Amino acid sequence: MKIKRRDFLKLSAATGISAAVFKGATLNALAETPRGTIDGEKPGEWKASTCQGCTSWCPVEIFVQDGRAVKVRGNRHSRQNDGVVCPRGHLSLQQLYDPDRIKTPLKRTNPKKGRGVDPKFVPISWDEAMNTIADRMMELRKSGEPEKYLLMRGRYTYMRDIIYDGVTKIFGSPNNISHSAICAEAENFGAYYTEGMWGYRDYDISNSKYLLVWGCDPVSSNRMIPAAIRRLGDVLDNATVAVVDPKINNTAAKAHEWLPLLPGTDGALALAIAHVLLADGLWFKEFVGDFKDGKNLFKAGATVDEEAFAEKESHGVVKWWNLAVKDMTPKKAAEITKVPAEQIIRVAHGMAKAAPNVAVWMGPGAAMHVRGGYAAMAVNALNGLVGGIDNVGGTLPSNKVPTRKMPKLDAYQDELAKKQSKMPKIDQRGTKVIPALKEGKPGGGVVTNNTATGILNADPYEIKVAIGYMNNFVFSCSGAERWEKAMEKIPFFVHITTNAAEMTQYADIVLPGAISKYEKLCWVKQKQNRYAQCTLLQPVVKPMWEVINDETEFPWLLGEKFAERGFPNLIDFLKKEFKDPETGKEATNAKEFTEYAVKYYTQDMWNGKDVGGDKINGWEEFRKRGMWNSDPQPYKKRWGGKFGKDEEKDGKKVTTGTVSHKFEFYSETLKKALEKHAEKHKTTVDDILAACNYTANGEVAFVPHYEPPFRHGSEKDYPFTFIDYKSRLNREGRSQNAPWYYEFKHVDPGDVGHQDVLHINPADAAKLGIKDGDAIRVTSVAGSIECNAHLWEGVRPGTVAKAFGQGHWAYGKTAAKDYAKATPRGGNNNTLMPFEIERLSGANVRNGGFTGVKIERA
Amino acid sequence: MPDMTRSDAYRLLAACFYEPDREMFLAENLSANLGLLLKKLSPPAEEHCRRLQAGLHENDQEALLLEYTRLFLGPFGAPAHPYGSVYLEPTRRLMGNSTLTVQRMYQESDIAQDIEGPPDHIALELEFMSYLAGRTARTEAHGHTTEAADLALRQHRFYNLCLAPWTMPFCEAIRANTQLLFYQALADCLASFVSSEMPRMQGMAVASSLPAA
Repeated sequence: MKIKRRDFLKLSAATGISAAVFKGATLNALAETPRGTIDGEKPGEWKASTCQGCTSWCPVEIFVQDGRAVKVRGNRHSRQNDGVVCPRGHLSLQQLYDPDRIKTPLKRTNPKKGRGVDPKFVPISWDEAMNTIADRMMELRKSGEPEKYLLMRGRYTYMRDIIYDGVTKIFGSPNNISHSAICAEAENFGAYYTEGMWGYRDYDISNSKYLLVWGCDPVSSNRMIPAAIRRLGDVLDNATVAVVDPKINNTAAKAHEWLPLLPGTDGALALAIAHVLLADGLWFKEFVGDFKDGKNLFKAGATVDEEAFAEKESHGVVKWWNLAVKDMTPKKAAEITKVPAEQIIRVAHGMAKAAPNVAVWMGPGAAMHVRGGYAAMAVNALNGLVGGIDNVGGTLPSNKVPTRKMPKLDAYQDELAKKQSKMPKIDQRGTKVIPALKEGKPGGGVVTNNTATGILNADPYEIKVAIGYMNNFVFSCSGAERWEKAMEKIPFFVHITTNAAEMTQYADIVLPGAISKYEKLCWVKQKQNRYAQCTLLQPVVKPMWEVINDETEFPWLLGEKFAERGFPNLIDFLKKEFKDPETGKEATNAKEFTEYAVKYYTQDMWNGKDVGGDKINGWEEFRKRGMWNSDPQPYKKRWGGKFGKDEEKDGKKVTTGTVSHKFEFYSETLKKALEKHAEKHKTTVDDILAACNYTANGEVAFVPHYEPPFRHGSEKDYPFTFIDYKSRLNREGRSQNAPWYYEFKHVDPGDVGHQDVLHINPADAAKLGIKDGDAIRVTSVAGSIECNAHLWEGVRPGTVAKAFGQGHWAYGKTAAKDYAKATPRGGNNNTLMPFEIERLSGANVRNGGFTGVKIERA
Repeated sequence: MPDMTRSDAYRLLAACFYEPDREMFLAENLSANLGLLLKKLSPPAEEHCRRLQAGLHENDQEALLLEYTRLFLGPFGAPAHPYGSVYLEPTRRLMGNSTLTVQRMYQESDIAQDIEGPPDHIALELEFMSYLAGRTARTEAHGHTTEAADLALRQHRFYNLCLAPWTMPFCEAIRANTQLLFYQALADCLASFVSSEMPRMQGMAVASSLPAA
């Protein structure tokens, strides 16, 4: 905040009292104005926007009075959340009005970087900030090495393409790295290599007769939270609810069955349920098919002749039985998982009785393991066995949201950009040990956490300039300490963020980011309750400071600066390809560009075109409503051999979805992808799997099967298995500076208000001589944290659990205990959990019992 | 003309809470002039102004800017946020009801904010008091006694409802978190001056036939 007028500093008396009297007021920040509206005179107004506290991306309305946001509710038009929000929706108000937000561009004046090192930030103008960034980036182009620019994306809206693809590719770098692999890519792997869909499923729980929740807590996370909160009571009345999770969660606390398996043994439990369904002749025959002579040949331990079975919508059920299911009896699974055999049988029989109105709701806990790819497949395969795929009360894909694709940018890439943007990426995807087989393509998926490896080892090359937005990988990736070292190594880093956090500690320039729910104009799409949605995020209040829309305004400003330096390609792309669809005008500034771009993407939902779903008359009505609902997702859409399809593209056959076009218990799709990857590296699939920490050999590699958990730390030295879970108050890791986060922390089962607690079974605590509330130190092979002990029966002996969220050492005054000394408030789970990835999908590992810990009094 | 002197004092104090520009502060004799004003209004503050002057000479621009950033901007949690609501609201947030009271009082005096940020920034509140005091002086000089009384009443209300309740904890936060002479002295100046305003505000209340706060 600068003084605008020098005479603001002058004495009135300097010109003589009488002169001063007649001179009038000397003002700087204030101005005399004709009488306008006085606060409190006008009624408030509900304004539409979208909550990004989690990936439900709820359409919401915000009550704004006297320019201030005061209340949040679900959008009344929403068929997803029925006009309600979860606790996160309300918590966001404390984010918006957080005094610790970044208020102005800042530059670092201390060249030394590290934890506990004061960056000595000072405020600078937007112009200086953007000039500095453009200069540093253009140096890379001048020296012919634009690939050394890296964009690290965290949470996003669907305006992401502009900064993620547009800026990166036109500039000439291959390094647009998203956060997706620290989210739940292994979960998507499970769905893709069974049902051919790389994406999160929708759940028709209003019509379920059996809901098997696996490794998540739908009322606190996993993409339809308000809907799940609203419906769970009815579901409990109308259906059987069973929850598989090593610790009790909100849903498990209300459920009919809780299956507290040992961490990482999900594959064995899923196979045992499958075993019962098959051995007892209870699979859903309309989907899977039947033995030709009607006689069930699935007997424990016995191999079955594939020719004896005629499948319908699925592929390879007999192969799967022979390779992985026949020997996984409930008794054997009980030994592995510690879930009683009779409970396994009861659950399987319950599912069969309710079939096909069964939803197996798979969350990251089932998948984000070192060897979790196959566990995810096994859990999702159950949806096939009971016929719940695309069925009433089961799991569903999404209806199409008719948004436009980003315009082609090839014409704006010069020769340098075309060449360098095809170079290998810094996350090392597609190398022998990291297949990252997204949608069947070796190296097709992001390996977010491995980006630190690439930076540290300068492999395949060094990174010289990096930009991060809406992310904090130094805190949110397991093996967090590696990221500290990686960030120290980047010579120039720009962080666009609402609040300074651990990643900002390494920034050379900090830019104040807008809070998406209240200050940005953009759009997202999601689905819940059979309805897909397109929903706008809108600036419902005037930002208190000059904050920036990271995905649109930043690229525009950068494009202008590039043009001043003789490289107009980016700004030309933004101007020419994102004209106002209504008037055809080119944007003249960043805000106009943002609006034109949002209009461009969403136009088919409001311009009179018949795309189904809500009918909206024009852009203004769309902004007022804030959202569009699709028609309901039809059932059985992919039945009849439509789980995959082949198309001709540039003279080649291209398959999307499953190779067999059926639901695959034997994954021809995974087989093709693994063989392609092995061929690329001139080796065998067995060798690839061994290099990826898997134990499978031969044909087992192509079916959902059980892999024993991979654990860091011996049971002797680290006797407890650590479980990480997410707080229902985590707004994607952005709520820890809100006082309500601590005040209401007890809404997470077993957690304690104003504390960060490790849940320990009382029997284990007694052996350690630890009492409830004791300060403790928890140590793994990766690091140590301090927190409080909470004795709780919601975890089984031998396992301990702690919510992710606290442990910030660089953040605002509420979230960090003492920034100057880098002392965290509570402990970061990612300090304990070592760097590890599920290599077939590229996913960051945070589940599956891969971290052994020991516990001592602090 | 005490109101004009007070107006100047509020204004120069407000200037000190902007991003420091040492060269301009020195060229305009900011601390020396403030000392002259406070000598009349709040004699103990004169010594603090001498320290402020010394601080301005002793600390270079870089040191002043770094300390300004650390104290008031953070970004890792500023120890002395310059916004009233941080001290007056139970949850340490911006744009609380106290902020809207400030905004409403600006509006009622036909004043608009001409700079970004919440309206209860210390510099804005001090500038508003400067404005009210200056207008009071001018209306009195023109013999508009009714309007002058109304303006005195506005000063009284704004001082008691908005400025004074958080000035002391704010100054304490600065003192507890800085070693830099300029900002130590600034906190002392502000605390001393705002305290010295209390009896004058009571006097205004009496003159306007209001019960003293």
